Amino acid sequence: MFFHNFKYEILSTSRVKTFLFWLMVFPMILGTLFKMAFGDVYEKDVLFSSIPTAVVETSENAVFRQVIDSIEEADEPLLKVTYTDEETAKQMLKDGKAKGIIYVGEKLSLSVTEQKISQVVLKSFVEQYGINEKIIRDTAEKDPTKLQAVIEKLSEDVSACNEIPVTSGNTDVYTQYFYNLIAMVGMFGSVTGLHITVQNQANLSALGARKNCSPTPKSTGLFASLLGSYMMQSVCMLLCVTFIHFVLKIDFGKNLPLVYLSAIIGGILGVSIGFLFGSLNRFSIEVKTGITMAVSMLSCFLSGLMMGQIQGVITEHIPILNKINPATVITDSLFCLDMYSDRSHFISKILTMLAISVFCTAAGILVTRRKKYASL
Amino acid sequence: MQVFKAFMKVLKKKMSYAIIYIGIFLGIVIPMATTQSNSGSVKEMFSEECKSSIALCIFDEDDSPESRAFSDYLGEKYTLKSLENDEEVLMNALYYFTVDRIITINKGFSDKLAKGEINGIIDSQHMHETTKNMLLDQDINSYFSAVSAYVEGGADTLSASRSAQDALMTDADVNAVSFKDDANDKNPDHFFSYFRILPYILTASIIGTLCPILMIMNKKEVRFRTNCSSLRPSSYTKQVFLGSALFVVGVWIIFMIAAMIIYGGIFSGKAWLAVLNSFIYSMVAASIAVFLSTFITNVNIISFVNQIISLGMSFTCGVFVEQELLSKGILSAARFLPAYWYIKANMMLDGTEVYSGTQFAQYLAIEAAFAAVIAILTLVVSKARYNSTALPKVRKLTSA
Repeated sequence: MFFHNFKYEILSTSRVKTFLFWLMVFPMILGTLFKMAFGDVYEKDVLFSSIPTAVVETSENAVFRQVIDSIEEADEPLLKVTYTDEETAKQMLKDGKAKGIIYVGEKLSLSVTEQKISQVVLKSFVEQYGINEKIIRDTAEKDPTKLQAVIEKLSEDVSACNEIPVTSGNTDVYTQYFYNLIAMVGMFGSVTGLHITVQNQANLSALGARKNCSPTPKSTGLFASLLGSYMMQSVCMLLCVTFIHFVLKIDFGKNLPLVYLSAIIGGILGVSIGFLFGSLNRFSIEVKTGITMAVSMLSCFLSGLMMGQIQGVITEHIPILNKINPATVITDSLFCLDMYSDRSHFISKILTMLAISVFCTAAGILVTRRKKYASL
Repeated sequence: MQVFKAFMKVLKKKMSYAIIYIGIFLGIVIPMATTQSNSGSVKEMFSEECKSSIALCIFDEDDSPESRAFSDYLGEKYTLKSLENDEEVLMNALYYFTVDRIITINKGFSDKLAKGEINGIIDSQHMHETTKNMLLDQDINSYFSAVSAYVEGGADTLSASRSAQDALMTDADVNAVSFKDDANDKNPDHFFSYFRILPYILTASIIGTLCPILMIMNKKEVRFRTNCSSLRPSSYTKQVFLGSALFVVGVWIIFMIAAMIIYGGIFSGKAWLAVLNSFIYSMVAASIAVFLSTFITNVNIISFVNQIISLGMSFTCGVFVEQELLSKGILSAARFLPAYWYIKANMMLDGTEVYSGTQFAQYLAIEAAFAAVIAILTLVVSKARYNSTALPKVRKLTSA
């Protein structure tokens, strides 16, 4: 009887069109849109690129030219300089082709249209001349004999930061939207879990009434439904990861089998949460669906599906929330897998997911068992 | 006005969908609008930009006057955040831009400074090679270069640190140039960002609410009952049109009133052009909704199609991500979508593109043309559907 119920659970779930759309087709569409929109944003908007700058020379300054030449020798130079006349420079500034105009005369000056980070870099560059001048002036006033040594010191290249590499993983911050997409599919599994209770509760569905008056033990039917749902949800998770990795070409690092494992456990987690929410109360199916969807979407919001930086804000203010929010735990398991060289963080996330799943399933079973109906 | 009354009754029941969307939208834009934009003199605006956009976390293990002087210097210019010294917290903070850089001042910092060993004097961690990190690198190197120069000039490390701090506060001669006209300058920051996100909400809320209502009105049984009544078809169409128009204009007005409340009063200057642009786009969204309702009969399918159209247009046309950041291929395809032209017009208003009255009018005309074409398509499809269902029955009756 277990296998009979199990088989029909799978057959009936696979015939629900809404299930097929929201758990299989919708993630693919959303993933494709994410890829189209965020594909180049990290390179174009986040990473540094040379700042286009117009230079207007009001008088000749050989030192400035030398400095610019040495800057431009770098692979990704700080400035992309265009020497031009004032009129063209202003037009470039107006058209957004230059972030600022540096006027080179006896002193350097800068013209900008806005005060953003690129302009701050230009300001800092122009200020460097004044800073060195002040240091030399101060030394000349205090001890002129050391002037030469100070000038030499100022001309030395300095690299004060001993850079410690943080990770060898994929630092593209937009990848987290794909982690969140996988978490979303997992959390949508809560609706699948909810339907297990609906189909086993006699006051909510005809099938539930039929099952309750049948001689099959409730536990057999329930476990078959749970296993069938876990299986169907796992198929959705596998499909989602496969599509994101192989079709959209999103880099999950070198641990693809573990990504699949994490996604499957994420799916089981979602189903378990839905099963618990469905079992806890005797509300109508609409109210139960509403509560489950609201909780799932809130969980996804807090993990960064709608606003990427929310997880950072939570890390800063309420770090414990990130450790228990189901969608964040799913997202973090994928994040840890790629970003950390050791597996301890990943294992702790997997154990957290399993612990929540076991708790929700056990609590759901405890609440569901021995439920009696006076009349059907 | 029986049909109009019935339309309103159905609308009342389906209104919750639009209310949810309006609520979510306002929940997102209100915090965005309350974010303070930089103001004051050019110097103040630059220093506010540094302070508001660059954050650091410093772990001072040396805890000497020199290390504190260095921390104070960075704290003066940038925002310092204290984080738990835990690998996971720090990794998340760097990845999600909570801080741009984590600096560790190791023990022995002051001794190294005194000896002039400034290369690699501090440990630094950052994740993204951003302009902000480039600036930080430049600034930190300048600080230590200045300190070592003062030390070379005979000063002790602490006074050298203080002198370096003074020297680094030297200001450049910076002029702020403006190419915007006064009318545009009056509109607060984020004003046009509000109008940039509007197409998503208008599309999603109008299709999500209007389609199910029209589908109910177009239900076979309801239509047959209406067709065999004494009501003239033109009167029926007018009443449904009136109900739809009232709903669409109502939703649009809610967003305009919300914009007035959020951005402090009646619109001025080019803001009115943004209002006009959004009104035309509302008509486009309404025409899409009417078109879909002529051939889709399942509410679940409408919900899926709504998500695909609203999210699809928003992601590809520059609603969620600015058009400048989208690839050329996507933008070429997006030209065939109305939201693309809406965003183009909005980009002229927010100053991303140079404003030209003729070009702006062209963009609006293209949007209006989309609405007109979709309306014609609706007529064609509804006519075809009417012919395919009604005429054979008439023939059957006559042949009998």
